[in-house]
Formats: sequence, C-alpha cells, structure tokens
Amino acid sequence: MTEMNSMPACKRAAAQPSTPRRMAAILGCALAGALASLPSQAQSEPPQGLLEAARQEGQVVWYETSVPDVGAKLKEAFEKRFAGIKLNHVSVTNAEQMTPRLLQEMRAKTNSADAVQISAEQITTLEKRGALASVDWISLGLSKEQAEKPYAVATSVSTFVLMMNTGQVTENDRPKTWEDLLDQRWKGKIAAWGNPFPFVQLASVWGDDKVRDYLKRFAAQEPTLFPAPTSAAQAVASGDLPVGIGLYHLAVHSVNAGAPIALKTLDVAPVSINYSAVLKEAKHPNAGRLLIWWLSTPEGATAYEAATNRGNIYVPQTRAAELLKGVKVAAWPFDESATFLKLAPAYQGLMRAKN
Amino acid sequence: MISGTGMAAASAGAPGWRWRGPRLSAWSTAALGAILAWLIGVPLALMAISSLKPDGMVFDPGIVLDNYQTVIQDDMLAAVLRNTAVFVGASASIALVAAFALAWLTERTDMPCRRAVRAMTILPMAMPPLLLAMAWALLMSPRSGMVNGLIESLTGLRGVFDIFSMPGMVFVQTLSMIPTAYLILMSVIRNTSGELEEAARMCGAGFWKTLFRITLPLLAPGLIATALFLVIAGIATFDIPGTLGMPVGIFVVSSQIYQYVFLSVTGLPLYGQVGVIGVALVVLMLPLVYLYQRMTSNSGRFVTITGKGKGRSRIALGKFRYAALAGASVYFLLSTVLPIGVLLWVSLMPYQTGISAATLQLLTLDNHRALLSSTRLHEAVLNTFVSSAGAAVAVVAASVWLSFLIVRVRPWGYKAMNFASFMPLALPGVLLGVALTYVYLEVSPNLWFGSVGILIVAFATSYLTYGVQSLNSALIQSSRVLEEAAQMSGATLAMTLRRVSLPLLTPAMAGVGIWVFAHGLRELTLALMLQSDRNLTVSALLWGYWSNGNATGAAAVGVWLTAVMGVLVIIWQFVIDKEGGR
Repeated sequence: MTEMNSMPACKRAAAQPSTPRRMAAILGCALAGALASLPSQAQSEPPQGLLEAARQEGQVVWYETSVPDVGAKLKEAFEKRFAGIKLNHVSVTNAEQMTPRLLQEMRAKTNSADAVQISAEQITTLEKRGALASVDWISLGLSKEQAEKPYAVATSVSTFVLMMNTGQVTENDRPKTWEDLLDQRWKGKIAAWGNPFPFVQLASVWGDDKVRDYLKRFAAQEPTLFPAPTSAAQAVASGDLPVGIGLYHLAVHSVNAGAPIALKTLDVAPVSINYSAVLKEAKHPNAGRLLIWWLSTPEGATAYEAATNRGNIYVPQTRAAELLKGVKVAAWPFDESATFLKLAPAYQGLMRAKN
Repeated sequence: MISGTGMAAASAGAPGWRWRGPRLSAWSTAALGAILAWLIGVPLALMAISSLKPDGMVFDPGIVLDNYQTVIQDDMLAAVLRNTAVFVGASASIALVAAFALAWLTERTDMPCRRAVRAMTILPMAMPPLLLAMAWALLMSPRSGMVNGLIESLTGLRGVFDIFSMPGMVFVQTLSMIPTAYLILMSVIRNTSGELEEAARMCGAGFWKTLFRITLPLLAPGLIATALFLVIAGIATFDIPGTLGMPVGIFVVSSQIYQYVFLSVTGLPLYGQVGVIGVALVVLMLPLVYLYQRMTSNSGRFVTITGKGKGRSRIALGKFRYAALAGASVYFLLSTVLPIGVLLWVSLMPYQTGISAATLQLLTLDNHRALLSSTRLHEAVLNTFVSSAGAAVAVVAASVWLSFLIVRVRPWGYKAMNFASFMPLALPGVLLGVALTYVYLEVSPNLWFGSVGILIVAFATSYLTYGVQSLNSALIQSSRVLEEAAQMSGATLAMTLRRVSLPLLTPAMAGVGIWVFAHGLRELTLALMLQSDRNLTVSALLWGYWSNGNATGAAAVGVWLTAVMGVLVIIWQFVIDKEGGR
C-alpha cells in the first residue's frame, strides 16, 4: 500500500522514457489512486436519455463467462433494478471461445450479442477487427480509470492469490512473499495453473528479467501445473498439495464451504482486469450501455461480485478492492497488450520446461 | 452346418449382388452421400482451410503455411508424439483384450451372474471422464490418495501408486474405454454362431486352438473395427491425460490441442494449429482405414448368422466359473465401485476432501439440494434428454442406412462412404464445434444456432463413426441368405428390412443407441461450444459447477448422471432379454 500510494514513485515513473514498464507503473499508480480514494464515480442513477432509449429497446443480450446459475442471479438483479428491460445472459463459460464466436457472428451478420465482458487481450483482438463500438463513457459518469478506452470499461477483476491448506501448513510456516515460495520446503508441493498469466502480469512491475529469473527458480520447485485454475484450488483445498497460486474467485468457494484453506494477497499482486464493451453491430446498443454503466456503479459491481466473487478494482465498495488494499497491483495497461502477448508464450515455455 | 456356412459365404461374397429396386438404391446412395458431405465434408473442409489461415479464422484473407511450421518446429512435438503412442497403444490394447474377455465371458460361457456383469461393465460409461479422473486422483494421488493412505497405514510404505504418471493415465483410460469396446464386441459375439466352435471341439481342438483358429478369426472385423476405434478415440480423448498427465508435464496430442485452444495467450484460440493436428489425424487414418477395409473386404469369411439357426450352447468353464466371475468383479470394483463410491462421497462433502473418520461429520446433502433446486435444472434435463435421444435415434437410423449400403448394396463410392464415416473421429471436438458454428450461422442462424437441434446434429456427427462401425461389424457377420430368401419369396425391400435384417441387428442397434445416449448425456466440449441461453445441458451445468470451483457440486451431477444411466442399462437389459438374449 505504502509503495502503491507513493506519489514520488509515480511521478518518477511518469518522468521516465516511454517504456512498457513505465506504462505499467503509471497503471499501477492509477490503480493505487483508484483504490485509495475512489468513491465510484458513476452516478447512482443513469442518464435519463440512456434509460429511456434502453427501455425502448426492451432487452440486452450479454455474452459473459459466468455459469448459467450465476447468470440467473445477475439477470434477476438487473431486471429488478431496471424494470421493463430484459437481460438475456448467454453463458460462454470457456472464455477462450468468446472472441472467435463473436467474430463468426459478426462475419455472418447474425450478431446476437449487445455487450460482452472479456479480458484485455480479447478486447484488443475484437477492437483490431472493428467489432467494438466507441462510447463516450465519461459523459455517462464513469471515471477515466474505469473507461481507459472509449471501447472498453473495466468492470471486474480476477485476482491471483496464494492458497494454503491450513491443516497442513501452520500459521508460522505459511509463505508470505513470492520469494518464500522458492524455499526448498515447498519443492514438489506447489499447485499452480498452467497458464502463465500471473507471471506475465507480474512482469509489469518486476520487469522481464526478474520474472524470467523467478520462473526458472519456480520451475525448479517442480510445481504441479494444472490445466485449469479450479483444479489447482481443489488440490490445495483437499490437502493434496499444501500451497498454490490460484484465482481468488474460484478458491473462495472452498473457503466459504469450510475447507481448510487460507487465501493471501501477495505483494505484488497480479490481477487480470476484465473489460466490458458494446458491440458495434449490437441490436440493443443503449441497453448494452446501460448494463455496462450499471456494472460500473457500486450497486452493479457489488451485485456482480455477490454472484461471481469477482469485484471491481475501481469500485472501493467491492471486496476485491478491499482485498487489494495495501499491496502493489500488477497488470499491463491496454496499450501494452503487444508486450503481454510477446511475454506470455515465453513464460509458458519457462513454466513447462522443467515440469 | 459347414456347407451352410460355405453357401452363405459364397453368396455373401458374390460381387454384384443387388437389392431389387436399383433406382431406390441410387437415390438412397445419392441422398446419403449428400448428408455425409454436409455433416462431415463441410466441417473437414473448414478444418483444412483453418490450418492455412494466419489466425485460424476460416474467412480471414490470406493463405499461409505458418501453422504447419509452428506445429512441426515445436520443441515438444517429439515428446508429445512419443507419449501419445505409448498412451494410446497401451490403453487401447489392454482395453481391447479386457473387453473381449468380458464380452466372451458374458456371451459365450456359463459364468455366473452374467446379466449383472453385463450391466456393470456398461455402467461406468455414464461417468464423465473428467470425474473419473478426479476420482482416481483422490484414490491414488501419491501424496494424499486414499489407497496410498491405506497402504501406508498397513505397511508403512509411502506413495506406492502414483496416478499422475503415464501408467496412471493408461490405467484410467483403459477403464474408461472398456465399456465402449465391450458394447461393440458383445453384439459381435452375440451375433456369432457357436456352431463352428462346437465343430472344432468335436474334432478334438482344445480351448486355445479353438480360440485362435476359429473364434478370433471369425470375430476379426469386430476386433479390428474396435481396435481402430479405440486408437483414434484415444488420440482425441482429453479429460484423462489432461487431469492426470498435464499437471506433471506429460503431454499427448489432445493436451496439445487443449493448450492451443484453452491456454492460448494470444487473445484468440490457435485454431490454425489445431487444424494442422486435425489434418494430420485424417492423413494418419488413411492407411488405418485402408488396412481395415482390406482385412474385411471378403465379408463372406466372417458370416456366422445363417438360416441354420444359432448354436445356443455355452462353454462350460468348470472350476474356472467363479474365477472368471472374480476377474470380472475386479474390473467392476476398479471401474465402478471405487470411482463412483468416491464420487458419491465427494458429492456429500461441503468441499473436496478424502475419506476419513474426521470428515464423516461433514456429510451433507447440500450439493444435491442445490442441484435439485437449481433454477435451470429442469430445462437442462429436458434439453439433455432431447439432444441425447435425438442423437441416438439419428445415429442408429443413419448407421443402419449407411451400413446397409456399405456392406450389402456396395454402390459406387461405398469405400469413400465408409472412409467418410471414420472422419468425425479425426475432428477434434473443438474444431467440430467451430465448424458447426460457421455452417449454421451462415445457413440458418435463427432456426438452428443456439438450439437443441444443433446439439443433435453435433452429437450425431461426432458419434456416427461408432454407429457405422458397430453395425458394419454386425452386418458383415450376418449372411445375405436370409435377406435373399425373403426377397425371392416376394418381400419388398422395406419388408425384408423390417422382418429379417433389422431384427438380426437389434442387439447391435440397441448397443449403438445406448452408447450414443450415454455419451450424449455426458458430452461436454460440443455442448459448451454451441451453448446458448436456449440449449443448456446437464453436462454444461456440471462444467459450470466445476469451473466455478465447486467440485462437490459437479460430483453431485455426476452421481445423478450415473444413476440415470444405471436405470437405462437395466431397461436395456430387459429389452435384450425379451429379444432372446441371455
């Protein structure tokens, strides 16, 4: 927290030549500022014109990665808030399939989606192919931090955390830092997702060299790399492996169910920010805007978090924002998606090399 | 008896034998050819095009060979191919031998409790492979596996079994393949007369001589088709190598496909590289299918159902009766009791944990309550039933039609039809989903896309190989004498089919129907790829629980799926018994 809110550090970063790390540092400062001071800037009521236009459209089709039961909760919350506007939640649980599906629909001119929520890399891919609409989000009351680009709004965050089985690791023995995970005692005992995303995000703060060095030593620890983050969380919850790196919103299910598992946000904390966008060919563009506006408000963000366990880093009322208080947040800014995409395959190779 | 078989062979093998009504045959061939081209040809073409596109997106401009270069130059390729060969070769071989032994025991011997063994051999088919792998991870993890824990408490030896290894993958994959192999072989053996074996024994041949000189050669088409099916299906299987191999760095072709699609770090799945693997699988299948066609080309050699009636005597196992039952029981223990027991246990826990006295107090029905009160359960059950039953009917109907043309009518291009029927196996489920998305978005988005109908089409396409090869094997073994006799007596084609051919094929058709229905119940990849708010299935619901971190909820779905399958198997047994099965 101290580091995040250190304005001199931010100023120093801003004064440096334009490099990916400088950009990331600026984003980090922005996130720090957001976490420290933001009451969500979105107003509690939508602009009247937007609401009326959305009501005339009558419905919004939302492609999102939550499972159908969760989608039903979101539908209920939205429709309760905006009577007369129907939310059709289409669950695309394999997030990787979202972009190709949207592009296929766009090509066939059969778009059914009005709004989507996906990762920054996917948003970038869609934007490059002209699939997204530009919206003046600032005039709708959103902050510049939330709406970094006119075609995307940060609406939720997936946070990578340290998971520990409390039945197997005493409080004193628990790792507290990234470096602690490299201790010999955890060799062969670490669960992780086979995707390098947390380390790629970490590079935005640590830099490429440091992450590569860390990954080599991490791979030497012979971590068990699961094909899905859920499996890593389950391995720690069941006690098959005592520690692991996982996604908060997936591991917290086991915590809530009473499993002997503790979650800790590391400093630096890698996160993947999820962005929402309105499709250019949306049949209900105003209803799409209204939905994204709502997700950006404390009311919408907390409703979304209640259903999905993923809060909004820019909405301090959410648990996610609370979780990230006091730690440095690592996430590449939008404009550095090329760097992200360049590092990811290399890191994937490093993780896989010695496993 | 021997002369009767010989006559049948001569008649069946005679080239140029035709159904009466060649025009009907021509129309039938043309219609079937068009359906195959649509169902299989179009997705295959799209896959091939995808492999040549920069981002794998079919309608993008430009043609490149980069995807081929990337796949070939992948440092891991040699290891992936080696692992795949070991994994598929070992699991398919063991599954084939075990399934043959089980089918032979239940259909041809006097082993006790045959009906129960038959049902219990098929039952594990209902369990999604993801949950089967999860159950075995809980049982045999070297660190916290229950079996290892038991061994340690008895002997002090730690981590005796390691399920996260190649032998572990082969073991679980074998268990999951046996029901499919058993279903094919059971109907083949059931359709095989025991007359020749009896004759061999009466001529003084011993057990092994009869087995190798009579039984196995007679069953060759079924055995070869089953082996081929197991090999190709094994290459495409992901859940088991993904759950048990990937975490410890053992990659096979299917994990590589998963990596390209679901662990892609480019913002787009690497469909182009998946397409390359799909094209390679098609190329790999060419010699295998050619070999199969060569080996089964003289179908008269394998005819064992004639007008002479079936031999009904069973081989007496004598003192080995109960040893055989014990062997079958071991399989039942490993394939059903242990994994389903663990699954049931997990479904009764608030979170995933092992079996111990300490965790007994955690027992709860919450997962089952949550499932049964799920707002979308009823809709998912209905969609699942309709899509699985629809696919089962479609596959059985198309397979009967196709097999008759391939085995009986043999019109121009029948070899191509047979080859085409193998092709869906070479299409990774992900690519089939993508291809169907393209096709139905272009053709009729509102009617088809996102509907239950598209699931039926997808499932039927994916499972057509199994249906056609099962019925081909059964038809090859069935003489044309009976059909010819019916036609010579004035029966129409429809009457011959209804009164003679189809009744002979009933066990095989029922087996195909059950297999497709069960696989439809648990089909995940296609259900997720084609999912909309109108066609949610139970397996998608299961995936929802699992991917949301709720493994115990997913286990509850698995328990119910297995229970439904159990009821279905019992009904099926009842039908078979009524048809004269034993």
